[in-house]
Amino acid sequence: MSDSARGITLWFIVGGALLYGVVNTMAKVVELF
Amino acid sequence: MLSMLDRDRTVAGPGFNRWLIPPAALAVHLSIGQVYAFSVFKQPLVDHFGTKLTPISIIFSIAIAMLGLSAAFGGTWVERSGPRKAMFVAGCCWALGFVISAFGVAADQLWLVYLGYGFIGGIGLGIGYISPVSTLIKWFPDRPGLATGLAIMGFGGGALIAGPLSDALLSAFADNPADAIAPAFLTLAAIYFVMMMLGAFTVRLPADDWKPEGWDPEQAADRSLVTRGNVTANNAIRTPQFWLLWTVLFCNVTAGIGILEQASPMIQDHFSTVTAAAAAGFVGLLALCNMGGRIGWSSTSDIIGRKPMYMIFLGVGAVLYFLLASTGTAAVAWFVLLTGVILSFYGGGFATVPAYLKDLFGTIEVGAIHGRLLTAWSAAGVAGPLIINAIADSESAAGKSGADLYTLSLYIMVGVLLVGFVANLLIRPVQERFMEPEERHERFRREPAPAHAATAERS
Repeated sequence: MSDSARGITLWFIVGGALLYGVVNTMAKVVELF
Repeated sequence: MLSMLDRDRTVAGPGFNRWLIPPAALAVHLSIGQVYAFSVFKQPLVDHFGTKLTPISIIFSIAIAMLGLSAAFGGTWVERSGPRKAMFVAGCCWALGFVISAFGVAADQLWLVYLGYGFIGGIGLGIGYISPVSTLIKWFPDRPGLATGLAIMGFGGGALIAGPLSDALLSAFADNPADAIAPAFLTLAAIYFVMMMLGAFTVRLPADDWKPEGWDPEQAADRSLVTRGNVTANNAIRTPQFWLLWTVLFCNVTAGIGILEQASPMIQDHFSTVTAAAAAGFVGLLALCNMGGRIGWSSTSDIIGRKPMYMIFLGVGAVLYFLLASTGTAAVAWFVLLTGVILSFYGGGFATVPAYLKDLFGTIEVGAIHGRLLTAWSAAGVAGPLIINAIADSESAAGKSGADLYTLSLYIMVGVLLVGFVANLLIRPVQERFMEPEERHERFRREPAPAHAATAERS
């Protein structure tokens, strides 16, 4: 696997993981308002 | 096979895209950021071991203490070994910590959890936290705040991911969460090991003579605090600038952590209408502000400069704390707004500090200097909650209740932030006598010298 392919794949993995965390947190935040 | 971890095997060739480095750093920081979601396991561990909360809380305390110690003492090794070897070691320690803890849970041996998650995992935390920092600064000398902000944002984001993930694992493996801890730990070990190895084998160092296209280091050094020289870690701790910045970080973290620690009871004590579920939402919102502040404020510091950025963190932070103490009960939205901005300053303070260190001390050992500075975090981690909790207890004993429990400690935090503000104001450029001669800098880059051989003659 080339450096570029690995780096781009990693962008998708960390981006997806962050999105999972933010969406789950926002689901709790709506309880506040 | 292990030679591929060596520093000289990780140097990027011509044309390498530097934007492939931040996801490698994020992969490591998102993994180790799990530590802030450890509380998810607290009650299941209490139930499993049939003990009280205090012996279980010790696991987290050991991990955080080891984070500070390994960052402080391992920084020079990280700098000399290169990011790939450091990330590899961090990934092994972090995953091994979970595996040993899983055995500890399965064998009903709490000391194994102390050893695994606390001691070995804690070493992984410290090494992992500092491992990508100097690499990012070398790849992004034109935007160090943005680069380190991206990575350190991951540490805040890691808890957002690990919280729901751990909940899901505990529900998936058994009906009773107390019976699901060991398989959940083993699953997390596998996930984090893969993530951190992907990061380790993606990270690259720039060649010695590499610089971003169109970027002029001389022009960048025209800013008043940005040095043209380089200071080693051993010399840096002999400068007043290091200890002033230590004070700045200590004050900023003490103030933020005081709210972070008590967020849920604090909002419920301020507003009787806020339910436990809404308070959990408030905690989530603060986590988002903390994470957003890391990337947002750190990037802003690239534009306005590091010193003005900390003047905002500490000066505006003090005003916000004052408003919180005097008008915080006016409305829920006002309370949430004030605490949200304060927490964004807390995160921003963490993420901007590596770039501040780079400005003051150069890049030669910025990772090692950062590791030593993080002892301020450990000290603040004790001081912040201690102030808030001790004062809330004494106010409660004096018959006060609700928001009155926190008023005094919030005013104390105003004072703490003002101390930090003055310390930041006193920071001046580092004197040349602490800097390395250029030829030694060149020698260091070609062939790292032994850790102890760096500096004494210059101090």
